[in-house]
Amino acid sequence: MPLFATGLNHTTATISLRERLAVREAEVPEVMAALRDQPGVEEVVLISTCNRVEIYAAGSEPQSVLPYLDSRFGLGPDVSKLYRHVGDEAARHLFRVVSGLDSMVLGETEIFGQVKTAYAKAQEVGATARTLNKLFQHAFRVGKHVRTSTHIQQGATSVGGAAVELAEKIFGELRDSTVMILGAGEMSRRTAQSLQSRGARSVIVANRTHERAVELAAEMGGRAVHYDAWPEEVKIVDVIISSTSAPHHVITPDHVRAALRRRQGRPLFLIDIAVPRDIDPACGEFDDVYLYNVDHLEGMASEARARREKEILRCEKIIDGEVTTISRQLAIPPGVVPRAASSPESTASASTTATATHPASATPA
Amino acid sequence: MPDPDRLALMLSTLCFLGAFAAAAYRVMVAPYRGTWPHHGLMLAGFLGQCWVLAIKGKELGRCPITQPWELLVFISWGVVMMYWLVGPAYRVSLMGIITAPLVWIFQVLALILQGTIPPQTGDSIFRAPAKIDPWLEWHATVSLLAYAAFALAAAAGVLFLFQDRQLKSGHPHRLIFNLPPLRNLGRGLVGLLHVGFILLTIGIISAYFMEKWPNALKLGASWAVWAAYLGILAYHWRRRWPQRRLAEVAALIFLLPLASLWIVSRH
Repeated sequence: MPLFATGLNHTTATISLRERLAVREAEVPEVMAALRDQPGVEEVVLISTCNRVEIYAAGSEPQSVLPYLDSRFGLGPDVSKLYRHVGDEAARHLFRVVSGLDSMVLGETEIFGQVKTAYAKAQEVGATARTLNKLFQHAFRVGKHVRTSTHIQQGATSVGGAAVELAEKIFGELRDSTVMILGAGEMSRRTAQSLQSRGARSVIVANRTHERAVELAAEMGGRAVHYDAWPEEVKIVDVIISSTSAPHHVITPDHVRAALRRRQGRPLFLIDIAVPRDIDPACGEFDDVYLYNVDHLEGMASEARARREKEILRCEKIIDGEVTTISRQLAIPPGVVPRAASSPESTASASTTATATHPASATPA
Repeated sequence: MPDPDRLALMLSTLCFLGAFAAAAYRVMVAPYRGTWPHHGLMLAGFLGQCWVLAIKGKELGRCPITQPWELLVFISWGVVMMYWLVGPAYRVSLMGIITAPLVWIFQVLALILQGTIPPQTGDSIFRAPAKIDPWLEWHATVSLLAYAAFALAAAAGVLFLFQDRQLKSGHPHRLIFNLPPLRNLGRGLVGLLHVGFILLTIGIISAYFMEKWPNALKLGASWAVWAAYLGILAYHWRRRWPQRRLAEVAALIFLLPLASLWIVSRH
């Protein structure tokens, strides 16, 4: 059965255009029903996330979804900015999306869940049947296969992510971990949030301006302590994120030595994201103390990004094989230029986009 | 065709090599978690060990710990028992990545030692003793299980030190992120030291119920091992050693039980 995918993402459209096409969660069933009711369209799945809006359609004339999108969202000439994938290229695009190859952060896993949710919603409203059911179920298997048999999702790609990865390496689960933020900067906040997102429950904030510490502590559901009192807290915290603007070392070996005596052999993870550095490098020489500065973390993140880039070819190979399999199973025709959509303009752009959508290069990660 | 006990030992050793390969492969691609191939091979290896010990036990009419290679097989069996029993209790699936290579090394040594024994002529040179002393069997079994726990603690210590060194460098190798977290490893290590110490205490006490006490050298060696581990644990209870220091000590101190085994098997 003919298959068609259209939409836009963070690389093909500005945020204002994405906003125009974004479909609120409550409206998704209605839009999907309307899309399915278009002549020649039998099945539809709509994916709407902050980075992408995509429609997958199957039927005798699946590209008939375009005029509806144009009229419903008032796209006008912007309709030409929608990418279009036809036949097996649509399947390939979906496989790349669920595998995280089309995401802003290459190999990220969130999109997998988002596509699953979108598909479940489409099923709920009866917008899918044999073709899209088979295609999406196959896509989820492909997504899992790509992630488990390549290193596409391995390693943290941001400073915060690298800090979380290290903390989990040291402490295992972060549920019982307490984090102290020294210096209420944006970078500390984001790093602490990353740790919280992985389970760290307790956050203590100390800042020279106490009001700022109170504000940040409230935002993070933690508690603020006066700046002079932070050394007292070291005995109970597991992770310290320091990013003050002090021109000298704030945490010295004396602080660490005093704290270690009262920590009963618990490890301590020190994250120094300040420049100039807040933590005396000698602090990392104590047993069970692990010190990382911003260069270490950025180094880890960039290595992970490079590793993921290297994996793209392996992922594409897997996807190639899977596209062949599903195309045979569903008798999906090969990617050809779609027939006339609503206007000559959109047809023209469709031809260009469809021919330009080579798997490895068309949809940037 | 090798003797049945040697054949069983070879097959068991191969299974542990396979289990090690399965665990190593898993660690290369993803965070370590026991996989079915790994568990299956561990189970097959364990059954092979039971087969060896059953054959030798029947032949000897007692617990098969009369020669160094048998001791090694028995300790390996104990290590695998710990893998099944203690590993899950401390939530350390890490035992898989430690146990398989450790047991494989022990059993390769056992095969080498077994190969040095001249072929028997006529009746077996090992005969069932006229009377079995159950306390002797109990003492030997429990003491060797204690040594198995110490062996696992030593291996956990080495794994801890490897990871600690990597983390301290600031540029850790990707591989360590697939290995068990340091805190779990440290907890597992402390747990194993406790289990080993309790078993050894029971083993030594039971020696005094034997009809004939072991010679002074054997008893002295056992007490020395016991005292060394008591010292480590007592210090840890009082002062809470840093995990790294405890890992170093657990790895090094295992030389003592190894030396005592050598003494016990020679005298």
